[in-house]
Amino acid sequence: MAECRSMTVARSTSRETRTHFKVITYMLESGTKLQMDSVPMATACLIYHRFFKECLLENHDPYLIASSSIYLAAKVCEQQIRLRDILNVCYRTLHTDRPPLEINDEYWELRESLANCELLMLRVLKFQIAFELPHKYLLHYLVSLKDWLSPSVWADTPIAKTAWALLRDSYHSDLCLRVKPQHLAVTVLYFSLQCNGVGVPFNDDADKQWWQVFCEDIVESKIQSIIVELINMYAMEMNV
Amino acid sequence: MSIFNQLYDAKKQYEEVAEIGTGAYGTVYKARDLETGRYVALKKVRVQTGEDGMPLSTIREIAMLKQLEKFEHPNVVRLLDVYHGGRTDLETRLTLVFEHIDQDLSTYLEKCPSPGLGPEKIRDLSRQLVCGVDFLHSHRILHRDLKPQNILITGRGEVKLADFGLARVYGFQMALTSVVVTLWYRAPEVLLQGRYATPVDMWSVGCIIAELFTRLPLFRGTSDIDQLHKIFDIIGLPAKAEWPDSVSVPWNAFRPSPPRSLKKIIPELCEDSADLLQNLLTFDPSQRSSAQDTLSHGYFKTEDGQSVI
Repeated sequence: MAECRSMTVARSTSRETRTHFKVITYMLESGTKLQMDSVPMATACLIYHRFFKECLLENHDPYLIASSSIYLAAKVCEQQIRLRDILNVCYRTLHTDRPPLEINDEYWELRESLANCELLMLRVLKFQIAFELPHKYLLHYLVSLKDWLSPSVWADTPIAKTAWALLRDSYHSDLCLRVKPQHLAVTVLYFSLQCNGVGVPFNDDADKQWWQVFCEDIVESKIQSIIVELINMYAMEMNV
Repeated sequence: MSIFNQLYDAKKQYEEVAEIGTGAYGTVYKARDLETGRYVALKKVRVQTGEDGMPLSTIREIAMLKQLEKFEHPNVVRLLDVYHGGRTDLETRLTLVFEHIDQDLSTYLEKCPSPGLGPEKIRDLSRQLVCGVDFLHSHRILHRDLKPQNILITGRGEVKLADFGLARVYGFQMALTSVVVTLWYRAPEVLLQGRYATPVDMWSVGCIIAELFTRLPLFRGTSDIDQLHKIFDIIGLPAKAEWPDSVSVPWNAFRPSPPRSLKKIIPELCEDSADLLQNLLTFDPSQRSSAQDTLSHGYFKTEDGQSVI
């Protein structure tokens, strides 16, 4: 009996995870169309994940929560995006087969839902919608790493590009909530170096591993476990 | 369950018991939290909202107030919850839920029998008041409206500051015009409509500590100008060189007057308390004692020179 229950929980959890994956993909696509910067976009994903840490998925329309997360993140990061633009872009991203939203009853209804959803989310999140993100750490680490590597290696391999892409993709899961921003930044850089087959010069002879220079409280096993989660997330993409 | 229903469900958690009063920004009610059974104070306010919903300044300010909750400072009133009580295109009704404390300093002083508070009680209340202000200032929060009505006293004699940071939550223009805002605790730079920062609160602290001794406000003006006259009657008109630039009233609008001795005006003052007030009731904000300085003043030291905090 207990086994059955745990299987049901596992099934529903993976179903939830897949739903969140799809919704975050929709958010990132909408954010790109709205020309949102990476920090507001990451903030939007964090707001979304934090909301569903507090509330059950079955009680809420995840796409409405996602659109509202974009709206709140743009506001808190002071990237001015008008509510009507968010509405139009999100609607078109979600309903690719439909004509653009006209200013009719449906438009006003959606606008009302989004405005009410903002209030609900603020209350659920206790108005805490500003976060420390890994972005500033990754930028700092990349600048240092560039000085350590030879100019030709840096020019010929997309280390930075891969790291930023990995970081952006990590927001498909709730890793960003569970992992310290410094740890996530170190991990995507480590993974990027692995993917590009680049080693940090003199690392084997050094007193400290390169990642410990950046972040003293991280160990390699922690990095590996985060990488496993990232790989599992990419594997899930095939099934979504 | 619709978003709308979930949003206004919070209302059902609190059962209003009585109206406590109407402040500059809205009505305050005593209510019972049906989940915990304890009493709370509901401060209902209206926030102006444009086409783009809740203003960022309001979100930021409430986020900051919620952030302060983590510290559980003993001299700051708890903000327990925030919920929404309806919305139009022009405004959102917010309800801020605070812990309920039965009396404020104004009531406390009114109830106090002659000959008034003892020196140790005054010292204790003053220290707690300055501790609360120091906590706010260390988190870069100005109170801006410190007065006995905003200082709550629990049954155990704990001082708790209320209504801080709220001017920015409501928006500076949102004060109800029908409500008379007291000027008696306002710093000269505020009355002169100049630039101001944390020293404005320290001026108010000085006025309030003086009131603990006399149980009467020190400066009781009837208008901004009259308030300034009352202030200069006691602290003296500052030198012209000290007068700030680009303020609403010129220096020569006031008659020159020398400073008067605070000990003569308030005979109950000891040397230390008189010096403390002198440092707080200073015209130049940059020369005014900060909360941190005030806490290490001799007035708050024990007989053996140890600080009481």
